[in-house]
Amino acid sequence: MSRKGLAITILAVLCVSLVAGAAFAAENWDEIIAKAKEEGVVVAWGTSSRLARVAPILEEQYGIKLQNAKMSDMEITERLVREKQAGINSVDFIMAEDILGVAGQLLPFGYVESWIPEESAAKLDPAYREPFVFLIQPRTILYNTEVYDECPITNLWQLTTPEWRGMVIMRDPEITSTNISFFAEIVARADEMAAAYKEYFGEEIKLTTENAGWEFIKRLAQNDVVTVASDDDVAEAVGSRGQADPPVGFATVGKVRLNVEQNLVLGVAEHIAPINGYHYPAYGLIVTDCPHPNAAKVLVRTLLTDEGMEAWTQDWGNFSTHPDIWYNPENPLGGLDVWTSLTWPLTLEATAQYSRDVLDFWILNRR
Amino acid sequence: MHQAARQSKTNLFFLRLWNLTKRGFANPPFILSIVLLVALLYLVIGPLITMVQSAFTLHPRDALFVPGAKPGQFTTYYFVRTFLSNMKGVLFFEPLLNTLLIIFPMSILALLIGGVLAWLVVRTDLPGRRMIARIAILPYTLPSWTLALAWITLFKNRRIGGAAGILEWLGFNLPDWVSFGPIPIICVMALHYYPFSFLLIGGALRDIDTRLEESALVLGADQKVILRRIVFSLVTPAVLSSWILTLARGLGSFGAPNILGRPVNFQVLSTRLYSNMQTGRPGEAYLLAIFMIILAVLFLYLNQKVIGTRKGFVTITGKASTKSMVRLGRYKYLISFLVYLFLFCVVVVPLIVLGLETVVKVPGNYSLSNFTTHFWIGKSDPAILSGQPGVLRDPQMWQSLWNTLKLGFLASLSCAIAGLLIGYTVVRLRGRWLSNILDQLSFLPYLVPSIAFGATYLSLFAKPRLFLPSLYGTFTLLIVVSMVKNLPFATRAGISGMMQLGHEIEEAGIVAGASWLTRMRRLILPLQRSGLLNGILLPMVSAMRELSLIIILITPGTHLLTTLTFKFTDYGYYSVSNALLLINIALVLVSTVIVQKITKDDLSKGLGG
Repeated sequence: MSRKGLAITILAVLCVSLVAGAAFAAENWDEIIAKAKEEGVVVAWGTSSRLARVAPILEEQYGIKLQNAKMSDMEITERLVREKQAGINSVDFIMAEDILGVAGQLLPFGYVESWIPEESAAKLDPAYREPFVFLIQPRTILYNTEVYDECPITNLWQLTTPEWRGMVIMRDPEITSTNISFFAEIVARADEMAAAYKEYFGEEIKLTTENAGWEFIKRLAQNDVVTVASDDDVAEAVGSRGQADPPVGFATVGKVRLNVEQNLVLGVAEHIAPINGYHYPAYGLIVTDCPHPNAAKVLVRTLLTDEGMEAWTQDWGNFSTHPDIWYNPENPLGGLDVWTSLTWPLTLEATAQYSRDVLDFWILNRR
Repeated sequence: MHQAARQSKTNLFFLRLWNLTKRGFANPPFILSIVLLVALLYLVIGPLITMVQSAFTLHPRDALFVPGAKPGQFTTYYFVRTFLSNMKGVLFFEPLLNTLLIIFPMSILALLIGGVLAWLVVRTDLPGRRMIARIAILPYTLPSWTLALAWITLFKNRRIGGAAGILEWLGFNLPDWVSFGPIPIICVMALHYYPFSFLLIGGALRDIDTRLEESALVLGADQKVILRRIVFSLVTPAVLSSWILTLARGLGSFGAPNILGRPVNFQVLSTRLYSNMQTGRPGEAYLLAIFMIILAVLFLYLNQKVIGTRKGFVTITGKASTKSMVRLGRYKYLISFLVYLFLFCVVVVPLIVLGLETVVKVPGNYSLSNFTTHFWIGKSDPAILSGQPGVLRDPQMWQSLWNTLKLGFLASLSCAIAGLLIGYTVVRLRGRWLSNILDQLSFLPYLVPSIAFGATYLSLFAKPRLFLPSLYGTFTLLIVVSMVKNLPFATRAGISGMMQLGHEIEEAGIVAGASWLTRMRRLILPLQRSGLLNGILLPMVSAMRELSLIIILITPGTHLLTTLTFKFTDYGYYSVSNALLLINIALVLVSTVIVQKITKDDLSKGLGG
């Protein structure tokens, strides 16, 4: 099976499970809530600490306790697979970001399922239904507004120039699968990268690699990019006050909230050629044969309300996939539709086809 | 071979087995040793087998990429990739080179610091040496990344942008090599590990019979010759041992290289192992772990070789009744001051620096107007750290504090008991292969990198196996893994305790007709009470401050102070995580003092008078 073949297979599996998912019986919410109250607890693993802020809502409205743990995206896949193989069912719900793991290691084996309340399912864009995506977060270039009036970066290729050598900071791709998926996307969209190169330097790119996408990753890797362990470190590095020569960073837009919390001065890039960054999905999946299935359904339903999503949506650049759900209007650029056009989506195809080689290539060129 | 010959050979085998069994029943230590052997094989060799298996088994994620591959099938993919492909440089050789580049200077530095301090405390009339001995071992009781965090707070430069370190804030410009990379890692690790050398060399120096030196003096040797020919010779085994132990420990050390190496892409074996785990390549992670174990075993083998040939010296030792102290003369107060200054810098300053981080509102601004007590005692305020209350008001903190205490106590107690039983059988069966195997097996966990050890326990205990239920997600598993990892300390204590207990006592019991259980209960255990308690201290300290061993085994609901600290570091709530770290350190210190009071034991046993 070629890698394209792999992607097609995975997509086929997804389509089949979509049909299967439609076969759910009509929901009786009184019954579900009653049972959920009996279960009393819902165990959730998530990539975001904000899941914890849904806990008071569940507790107040339904008397259900949320036990949540934060783990890295691949750790969730890894641990769930191990538990499932050992026949352990300890967790009810996962908030996952591991595109490849969810599509390749969890869904095909029936370890998790997308479950969306009927009332919401019809309103969601089909692209977010299978697997169920409840949250979209963009990662983009952040800059220091104390030093720069507007973003000093207008073209991604600038990041590879001597001027920005050692001055670009990002979460280490070696421990961040979404950043690697973005690199995969860059390779898949090499033509757009080549056009952006010409736009910035005024000449055709001279390739030492297969295409302009690989070329970009190579040059970026060789430009002494500073890698750190978290987006918070990126935000702090870029947005701390009193810096004469601050770096630019690549992080989730939501980090702008630190402007208030930690008195930072972060700004969000408005237009960068060929693209500002990417947006990545957070899947909300119910674990098959979980110990508290009804409480898990109540959790999913809560994540499709204004209140349940507030933990995320209060910050700029975090969007529910449900079109009716509130988002922070102060967001400088606009709603989900604006952001999804300003940033690339991460596609399963590109990730499946390139992510592995891209990571190796990145590691090799960073030396 | 003839049928008959084969027959008789089989018979012989069964006869032997029968004899062995008969002898076994008459010999309870033998039965005990078999039980211990099975347990150790499962708990120590089990993880190693799991590692080797995983290293040659195709991971489900990789199966997605290889045409026609099935997850779980045999593969040499990881082996080839790590050691033979064009990735071998980044994945293996560079981290290996960097690791060696770190641990050799680090261990020598640690040896120098520990050795000089030990000599000053044990063999000179340095004022305040008893106090020095107690403070000097403190760095080892702190979590290993404490110093790294303190270093970065002090010396952070422009490399990773953001809030300036204290020195930069004061106006100094620091080059990268001061802030990040090998040199800070070497310093930080040496300061964490020198207590090994201090304790071991100190012990050896204390046990030297000073009459040897006196005789040499009488025979006309001058001080230099005495120092070289007698003191150094006698202390050499301890020096080498502590050197090797430091090397082996440094090999798997993760905290400091992760914090101080990552920003400049300086990878060592342990950080590479962690990245491999994090990016869903456990097979490659285990390969590195196996390599690290082999390397450590090699170090250890060298150690035994060297010490083995020098055993002649060691046997002469015996405690002298009188000790002649080297007089430092008029410099003694100056030297004492310098030693205190040094200890102040490596113990007190880091704690102050971390403490400082917990009382500033906006990071990087150390002026008085920016001070706050919010992160300690503040009520939840939605505007600050998403409503995280001050740690002393946070029920999570108290829960995890209790869990940490529970883990420290239960793990160290079970560890000490296991150590005592192993010590008993090792000494009683001395010279037999069983004794040797138990001895070696119980030391092996020392050499397995903590992260890898934790990860294998996850796969080992996820399913019910043999007679054990699935322990995954239970507190018991945390106790088991902490117990096994710290077994080396407890076994050493157990063996040395049993060595001092002559066989006569037990023989007297046999003559008096006491059964083995009675002898154990009425004779051995009461006599070994202090030995048992001795074995508790080190396992307790390390269980209470361990992170990498258990991070992968923690499930929601069982947080420890260390994992909670890690969680808040992950959120970027450094003020909270530093406060938790300080609470953790205080807890370890208080428990250490209490245990020392109860057992009248002391990590710096009798050093400094």
